[in-house]
Amino acid sequence: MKIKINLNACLKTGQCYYTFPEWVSRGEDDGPNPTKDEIPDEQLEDLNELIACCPVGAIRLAKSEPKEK
Amino acid sequence: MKSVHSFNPFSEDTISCPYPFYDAMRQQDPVHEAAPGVFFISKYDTINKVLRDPHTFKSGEGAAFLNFQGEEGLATPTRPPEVIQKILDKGQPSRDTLLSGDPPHHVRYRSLVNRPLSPGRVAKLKPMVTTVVDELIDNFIEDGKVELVSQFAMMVPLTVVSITLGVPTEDLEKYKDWSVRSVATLAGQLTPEKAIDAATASVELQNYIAAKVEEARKDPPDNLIGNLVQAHMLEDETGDEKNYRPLDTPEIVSVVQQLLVAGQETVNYLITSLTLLLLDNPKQMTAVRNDFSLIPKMVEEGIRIESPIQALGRFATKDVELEGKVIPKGSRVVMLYGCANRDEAKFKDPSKFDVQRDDLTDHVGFGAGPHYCIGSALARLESRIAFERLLTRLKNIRLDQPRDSLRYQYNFIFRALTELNLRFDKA
Repeated sequence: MKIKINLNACLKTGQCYYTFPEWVSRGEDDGPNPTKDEIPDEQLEDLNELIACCPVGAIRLAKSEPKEK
Repeated sequence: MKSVHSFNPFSEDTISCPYPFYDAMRQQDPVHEAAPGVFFISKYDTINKVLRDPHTFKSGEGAAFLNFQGEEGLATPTRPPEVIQKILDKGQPSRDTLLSGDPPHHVRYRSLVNRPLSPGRVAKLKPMVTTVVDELIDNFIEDGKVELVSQFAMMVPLTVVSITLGVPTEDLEKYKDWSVRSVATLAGQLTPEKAIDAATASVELQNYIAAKVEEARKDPPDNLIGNLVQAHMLEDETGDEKNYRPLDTPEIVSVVQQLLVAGQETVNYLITSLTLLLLDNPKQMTAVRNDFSLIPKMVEEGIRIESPIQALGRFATKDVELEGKVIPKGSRVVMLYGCANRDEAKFKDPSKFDVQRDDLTDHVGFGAGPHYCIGSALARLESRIAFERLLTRLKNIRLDQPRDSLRYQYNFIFRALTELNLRFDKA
């Protein structure tokens, strides 16, 4: 799984990087930067927590690109 | 412009109309020591800095909520007088959870409530909120007049939150009575009788919630209290599974009571202030009536220009410099949201109510950083639906009292009209 953030909707409240610093870091303009290219599906429960912590619903999940063999 | 020092920040005059004081502060003394050890932060950028640094500026131990009983009360965490403390002792022990929480525990408490208050879940409440709003309008629409605060603005969030918490119909009157009376403590200067009444109601409410929590532990219902009794929180830094523990009853009561109080008063004041803003700005009223897609924008602009929460506080955990001024460790830092939201360095023509601004959501009316309003999605939904239904069902809305008879609460935290009498025609 991959974290996608809609920066047009984002209000830069920082909820994502305060709650899940392991996945999102605070950018220079206080905006969010997802830091992981790939998060295992087993962590879906926590990923749903991440989605819920955004006050404007700007975070969604995307399937990661299949790895090249 | 008057000198910032010519204002008494704590007088009823200043608090009824704080904007000239705010303007003077931003221009002349942006970090203003309003009383010994009490620093007012006036600028948008500076408040953002404070909000995003919870380690230097803590919320716990009475820091966040400004229990305003005169300027001495702002300098140090106020202890209630003995007679009030004796009443409060009969309620639940206090816990620093959400608004009053600090790292690392704050984010853990907050995570327990994020989901039920997330935009996705809140959107599902739309039919319920619409029914609540329409029933309230039904109660007064035939009268051709309404006192908006008591008959509508206060009742919308109160009813919505009580349903969300699962308060049964037979308890609703009792619950409403406690809620209304207990939030009086937030209304600033209280007479001793009012303070006793508010503390009594608060204790009754706490014990009522505590009883609901105990019931829910046996058979968890599908509501917020049911979610909280089933939740487990990490106790320490290890991340070890076995260190997760359930919440105790005082913690759940603290979470629920904070949500309840924060959710109730703020939306009330927002709906009331916005109505007056529309009456004062007929062109904006017409624009919104003609295009309901402007309602969400109008709600944001209302939060900016008449921020329901004007101020929240922190304590400095170390000596820190802001805008060239040293704030000593232990000082009270007061973030004036209502002032930052009119900062000309951030907002063009800041005292103008304009629902078509392009930076509408940049306001700090909900705060920013770790304490960003957890109920913002619900507050937005309630306010939007309130105006969709009011403007659909009422027309020719007009003030039914002289403009200069409008009064604001003598309240340092809330921007709160005491009443708003209106006349209207049925649409």
